[in-house]
Amino acid sequence: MATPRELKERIDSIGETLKITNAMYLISSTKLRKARKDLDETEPYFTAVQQMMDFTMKHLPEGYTHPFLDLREDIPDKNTRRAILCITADKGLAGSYNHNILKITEEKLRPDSNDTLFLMGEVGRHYFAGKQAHISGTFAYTIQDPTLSKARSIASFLLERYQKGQIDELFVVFTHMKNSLEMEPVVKQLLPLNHLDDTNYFKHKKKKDYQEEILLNPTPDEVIEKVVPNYLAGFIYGVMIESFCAEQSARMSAMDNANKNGKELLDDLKIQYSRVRQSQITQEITEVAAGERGTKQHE
Amino acid sequence: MDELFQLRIIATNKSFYEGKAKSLVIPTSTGERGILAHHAGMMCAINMGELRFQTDGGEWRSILVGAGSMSVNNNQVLVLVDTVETLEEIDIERAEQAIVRAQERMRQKQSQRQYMMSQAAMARALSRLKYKDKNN
Repeated sequence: MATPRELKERIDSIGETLKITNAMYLISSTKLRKARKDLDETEPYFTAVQQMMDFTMKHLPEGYTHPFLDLREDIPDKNTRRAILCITADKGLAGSYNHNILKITEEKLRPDSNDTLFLMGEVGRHYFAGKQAHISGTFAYTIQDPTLSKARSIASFLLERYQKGQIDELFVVFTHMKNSLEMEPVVKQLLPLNHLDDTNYFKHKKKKDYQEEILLNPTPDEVIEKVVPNYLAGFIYGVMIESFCAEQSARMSAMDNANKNGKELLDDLKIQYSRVRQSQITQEITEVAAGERGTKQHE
Repeated sequence: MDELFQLRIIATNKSFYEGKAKSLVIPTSTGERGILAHHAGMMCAINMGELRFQTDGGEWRSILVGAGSMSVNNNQVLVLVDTVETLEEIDIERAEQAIVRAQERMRQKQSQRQYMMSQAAMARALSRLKYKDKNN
């Protein structure tokens, strides 16, 4: 059995840990409130922008080609340079939030190939730094405080590389909030455009499942060139907001669990401590009583 | 009675308007473009600038929108833009500072991408000032 002193030390240390987890719980719950407000405000845009892109792609004229739509089929599959934008948290202690993202990213990352990782969040950076993966060093964006200007900058950063032919396809790995409690890691392909949502829009078009004629004004080129960078920025913004919200939510529930477990542990230990102390006192009394009886018998 | 169409104006951080409208004027790269009810199906890019629309009550409203796109389909108009600002929301001081910042950045040696971004930032600030100036 542990000595009372050992027990006391454990109780104190758990108490300290509880203070930290409790503080983190409070911080993440305040951050979550703001993040959820942001998410609610972005949601309509985020869904509308995907519909809009869908609409545009469906109504492109027959046989239209543009670099953004180019599947680059002349490059063999194993040589395609894949870019993965991976969004993790800056800190751990958020349950399975980071782990899920990292797992999916690793699945997407092909070994011995030309894939490049564009990492947002310190956890991802630390994780992949120890692995044999190609990480873009110039890509340095934090996930704290997602703003539109940051998203614009990221979008143009990636688009430039795509246009220069340094990357052939672009994926983003992020956490999607199904509802306020459930979340799931998602992979989406952003470039080339006709892979959006895992559907090939050109196949769509050949089936001719649209009736009305839609005019792309003034020219399809102009529309695509103006709308796509905006679309990318909007999408990345939405993804950042959603992931940030998911992170705070994950951390809040993780810390809530930690608090509960800590309290349970503390209760158990306190009972154990009382028992040990009690038995020690009882033993001491017995010893004293026995000793006294012994001296009395000698008289 | 005027014919109406369904209009939705959505910015990245808010859904600005959702309802019936009589008329809509959007800024595009080739000038302003007016949309009335039963417009033919169309899709076009929106430049940053002033957007005006007439609500079903007949009142004209004017806002400054960022770059984006618009689609017209089945008498439904969807305007999707970066930002939506009303006259009161525009901060002249901030816009002026943004111009100075952009000029400063453009003077330094920059990559082409950074240069384009500074240029875009400057264009945004300038159109804010222009809009404010025009409507004051």
